Amino acid sequence: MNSQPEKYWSPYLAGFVLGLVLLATFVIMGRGLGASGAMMRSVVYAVDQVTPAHIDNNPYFAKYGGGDKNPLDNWLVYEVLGVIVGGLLSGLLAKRLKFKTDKGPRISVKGRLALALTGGAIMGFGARLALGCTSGQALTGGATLALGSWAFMMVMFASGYAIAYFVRKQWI
Amino acid sequence: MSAPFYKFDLFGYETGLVIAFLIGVAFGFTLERAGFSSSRKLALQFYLRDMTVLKVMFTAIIVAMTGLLYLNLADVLDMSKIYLNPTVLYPQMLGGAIMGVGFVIGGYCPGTSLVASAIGKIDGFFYVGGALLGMLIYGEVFPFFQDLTTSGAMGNATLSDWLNLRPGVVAFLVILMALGLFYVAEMLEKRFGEKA
Amino acid sequence: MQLTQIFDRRLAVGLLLVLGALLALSPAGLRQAEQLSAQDISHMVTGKSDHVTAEEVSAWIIDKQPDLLIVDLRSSEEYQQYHLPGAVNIPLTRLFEPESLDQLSDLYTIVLYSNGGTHAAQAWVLLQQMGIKSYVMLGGLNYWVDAILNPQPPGDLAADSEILQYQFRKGASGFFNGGGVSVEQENQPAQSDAPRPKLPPRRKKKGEEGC
Repeated sequence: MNSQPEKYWSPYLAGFVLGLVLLATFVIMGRGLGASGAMMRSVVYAVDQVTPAHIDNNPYFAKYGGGDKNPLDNWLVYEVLGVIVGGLLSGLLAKRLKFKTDKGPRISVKGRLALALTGGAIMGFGARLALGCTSGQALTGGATLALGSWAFMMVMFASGYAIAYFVRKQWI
Repeated sequence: MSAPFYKFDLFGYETGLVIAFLIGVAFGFTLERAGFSSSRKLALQFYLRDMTVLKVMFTAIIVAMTGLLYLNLADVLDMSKIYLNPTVLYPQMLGGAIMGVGFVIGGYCPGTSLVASAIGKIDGFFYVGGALLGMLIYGEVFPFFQDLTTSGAMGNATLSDWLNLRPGVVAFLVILMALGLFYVAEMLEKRFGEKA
Repeated sequence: MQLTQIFDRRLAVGLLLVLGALLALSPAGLRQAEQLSAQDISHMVTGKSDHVTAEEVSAWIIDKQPDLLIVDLRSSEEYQQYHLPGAVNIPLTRLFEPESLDQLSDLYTIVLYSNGGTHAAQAWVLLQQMGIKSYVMLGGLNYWVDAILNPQPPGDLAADSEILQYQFRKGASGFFNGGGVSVEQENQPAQSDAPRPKLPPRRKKKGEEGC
């Protein structure tokens, strides 16, 4: 029995399959894929459990969970649950299930985790401002030729390349 | 024309949620298979050593785009019923700039961090926690810059509106650009890649 | 192995180029749902899937149907004088301005009315051509005022159904004139008398974000 993790798919094959999944979503639902919208909804849900009045008073939160609205009653939330299960399934079949931290050789685990938290926070903030993340904007908007999504994509990659030099120790 | 099925009332809201889950499974599975559950693999994109992100993304975009246009051409799918991300130029560009920074520092984007967490990546957990925190902060400070979030609103603008070209022509240009990028990506990986 | 890989890649690139070039020459992406033929329209008219009665609209308003969007097609002066509760004003002349069309999401049950029935019917046809489904309120505002706001009692020899209808109208009239008359009980028989057209399944309004 081989316990080595399987290889990843070729990027072009993975892209092709991903494109078909996206196309199927368009054909069946008339909408695209997403991720950060569902994360936003779980934040609103959590805050709503603690202080519902706060949700109703904040114009941004109210949009998702104001009044009797259940922020989790949404297409994207179910889609993202599927994403987690799908990822788990693939990891299981490819023997990649393992608690570990990905990082470059020149940074400590603690340092990497601190940066992951920081980067996540920056990304979370930016994703809400940009009305979506890589899945919702770049992928979905890219395929439908949405103008703003293409502008978003270009700026995101440009900004990533511009800043990459300064955090190179984390990765290489 | 009978697609998109949901918009033509071929099934209801609850069925849609079941489909959402199934589509999510396929989406998550593919992301993991592409190697997007590894932050380092994703981040090496920005050091020109591993161009998987670019290849996967643009392949997916051109496959879905070409599929949509051909289905429309065959009178199967009504493009006007497909959700089009509205263009709100300034927040999208500013948000994109912020996310580029977050991507290089955090190593994931929201979707891939969930997949990474699903297979036990600890930096994935921290990233998801950070992202939730960032969204909470966004909601809290939103009232202070509400005007910015709608500046540059252009409605349902597309590249073909902007370039004043038919969607098919734009699609062809996108395909040409993607093929060019794939070629460059292969060259870069040969030059900077970690292993041949 | 190496050879087949190269071959496959070239094939894929070639295929993409051909598919892309064909797209460039085609009107892909511009094709909309087919226009309704005159036959389709007459079918919808005879099939009564195009209109609702004033009684039905009043019952929907009283029930606070969440997906109801009532559109007043008259001029804004007329709208300001009187309009149905919750109605939005989109004068027929401004129906095709983008901000008007933005309001007419297909997530709503759209009910159109004008003074009589003509303008509403015209708007209905125009919206159908654009793929927007709507209903015309029969008789327009004129009938609404006569039947709902000022219902006349039926004569002594009226059939049961007419009396039930009157009772319903009377109750609705109380509601709309602010009389505070409960219509709940009187509502019931009217429903069995004139079944409501089937509402499209209620849908959740989609969030603005695609992600």
